[in-house]
Amino acid sequence: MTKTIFFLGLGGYFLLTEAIYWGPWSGAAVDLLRNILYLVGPAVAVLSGVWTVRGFGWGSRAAGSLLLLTLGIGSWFVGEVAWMWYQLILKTDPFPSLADLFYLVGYPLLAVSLWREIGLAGGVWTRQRTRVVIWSTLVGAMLGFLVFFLRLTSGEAGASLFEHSVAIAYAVGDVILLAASFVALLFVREYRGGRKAEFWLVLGSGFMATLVADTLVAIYTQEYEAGMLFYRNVLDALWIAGYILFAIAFVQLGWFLREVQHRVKKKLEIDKGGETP
Amino acid sequence: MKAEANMEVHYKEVAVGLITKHLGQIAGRMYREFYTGRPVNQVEQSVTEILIEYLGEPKAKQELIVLSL
Repeated sequence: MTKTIFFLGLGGYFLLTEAIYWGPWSGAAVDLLRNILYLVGPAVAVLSGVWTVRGFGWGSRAAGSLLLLTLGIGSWFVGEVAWMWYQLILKTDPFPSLADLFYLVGYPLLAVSLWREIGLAGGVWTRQRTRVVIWSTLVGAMLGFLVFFLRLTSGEAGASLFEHSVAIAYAVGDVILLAASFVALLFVREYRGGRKAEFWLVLGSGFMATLVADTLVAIYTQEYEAGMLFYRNVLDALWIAGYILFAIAFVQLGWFLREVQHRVKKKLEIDKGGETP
Repeated sequence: MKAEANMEVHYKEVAVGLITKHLGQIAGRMYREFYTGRPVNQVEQSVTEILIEYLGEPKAKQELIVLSL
């Protein structure tokens, strides 16, 4: 399968999903199809991540951060499956549940992945790393308090301490996503002109799409949970777009690695008197 | 003569180390084989080209400082 076919497939998947979302169809079967289609995005992102890590070699230092990122997206995928299970099969409100645990585990994995990636960039980045962590912690703490205050003064005042804690944890997770988007932009500048800048540009766009969706769902929670079509469609489309962008970033990088390996292999074959490419 | 040969081996090791650091173990192993028996100037050209392609020129130049013997 060529890279073009893969990207066309992703584009086709997105269009199909949107057609199902916005089309005039309804009913239990369409709802099931909608949920299954949604899961394709994160599944492809995880598989693409694994494929790219394999391209580096499992034990490679360069692959470490991508492996953690893939595990983080994998954790979100498991969260999505669990969410769907609670909603469609058990017919219960998935918040708070095991699904939240898997969603939330993804954020620290993303943070550790970025920490390692900054370490790989080295030099001045090591100092930036401390700065990013300090600012993220401060903003995260402030946002956590703000969310707690807003929940106490809103209709969520009667919620349990556990529910408040999970909601605050999501706010802190979004600060990690914000930091990730910021770091991705800095990496685009750091690696300007190189393939790695393209990787960070697409990956950073994925972080931003996810961050926008997470922020909007925090604002329009009731509309989204009530299943209001416009809110569900827009937010789900943003999350799917995020997963597709992760997949594109991974596959572009994985493809480049294999291209480089193929070039060296050909040169070695020429050295050994093999066929001329 | 022996010192020169040692220096050449060291240079190639550093070049392969840079490739392994950024492009992973598989690429590193392949380049190690490719650099065997090649003169230092060819190794320098090759590692410079691949790092510029992957990291971009400004970052690649920073990384390549370790090769300035």
